[in-house]
Amino acid sequence: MANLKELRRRIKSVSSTARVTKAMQMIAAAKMRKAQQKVVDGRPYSEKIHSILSHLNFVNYNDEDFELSIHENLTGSKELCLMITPDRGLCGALVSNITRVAISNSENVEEDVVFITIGKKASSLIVRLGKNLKAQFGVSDMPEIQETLAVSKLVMDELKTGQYRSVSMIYSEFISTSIQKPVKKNLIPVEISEDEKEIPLDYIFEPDIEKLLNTLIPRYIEMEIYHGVLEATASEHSARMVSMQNATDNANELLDDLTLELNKARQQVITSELLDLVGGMIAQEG
Amino acid sequence: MKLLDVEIVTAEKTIFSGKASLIQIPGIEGELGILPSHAPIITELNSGEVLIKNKEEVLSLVLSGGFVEVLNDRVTILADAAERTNEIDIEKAKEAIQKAEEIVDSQGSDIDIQKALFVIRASKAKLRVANRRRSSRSINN
Repeated sequence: MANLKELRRRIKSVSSTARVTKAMQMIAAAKMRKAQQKVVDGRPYSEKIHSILSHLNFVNYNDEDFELSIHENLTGSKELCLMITPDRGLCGALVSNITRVAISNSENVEEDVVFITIGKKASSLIVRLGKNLKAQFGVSDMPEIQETLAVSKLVMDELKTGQYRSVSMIYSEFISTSIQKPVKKNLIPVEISEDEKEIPLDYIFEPDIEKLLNTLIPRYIEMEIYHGVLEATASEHSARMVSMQNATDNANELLDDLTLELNKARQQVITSELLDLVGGMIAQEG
Repeated sequence: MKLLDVEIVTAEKTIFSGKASLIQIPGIEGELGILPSHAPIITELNSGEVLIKNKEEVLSLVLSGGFVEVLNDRVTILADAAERTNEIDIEKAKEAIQKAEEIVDSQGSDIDIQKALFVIRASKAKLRVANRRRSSRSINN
């Protein structure tokens, strides 16, 4: 009898777990659709602004000493690294995958990496590892560009101090609902796209190259960071959706097993009661 | 005949992608008319109207700031915000200006004010272009 009671209790608790994970799965799925749409829609801008800046690397400037003005600030030895993770767990291996990239990246160059984090998982990781944490930020579930402006402003201000040699960003790139790839992207110096090497260019600049870059580069940083956050958000919701779906499936499977076991136990009880009854009757007749 | 490949993108989405024989854009130092085989140019943009002509068709859009790159007959416009002129909601734009002005007057945080100023600039450009379109249409009719 105790066995029956125990089984009923377990069934109840597993089915309520299944209900919770199912609900989380539905919520994640709804957010995921919006976030995926947003990241896919936002990709062209991010790609285009990057390609414009990478074209600028080929320009034959009349002034030989001219360099992309932002590169002039790259006089230091440190690396500024922006790490983007979710605030919460329950999203499968997403966080640990990003963590792996971050750790392998910061191990090569000890002490030299300064982190700025977006998301609670990232900041607690950096603190736990005892790395250099400059600042931590948070964004909402459906980030808007305004939320990341403070981050990009800090990055620009930091750059101007001249302590750094590069700026990179670690986040997980959204590839599909089931695949998210942790990546490290170098923002500054601006990387040159593979297919665009060696095109000699003579651009006309309006107003002039200096002024143009003074607005173009902050905009580039803003957009790349915002886009990184969008990629991270889409990855987060996708990963959570998938892992909650797995959790729900597992719970349901367990529920089936438990129900079968319960039925068997129940039948056994009935059988043994019947046996008692029959045994009693036989004894009376005899 | 050679045509231009035009793409107008904002951070949110691609607003327009297609061919054009002529495109007119509000450069920071004045209106620019771009024809095929134009020299490579990168310029900042003002808020204003973009006209995309392909044969007899003319498409009008309003954009508020951004950048344009012209390279090998590819015109890439990175707009801070863009909208097709015929989709502009005049009432909404007026409302947005009013709200934004209130924010500027209330002297909130720096970022809020920057945002409000952007909204004002963008909405005013919208109204300007929309009104001009309306009046020119009524003349044609």
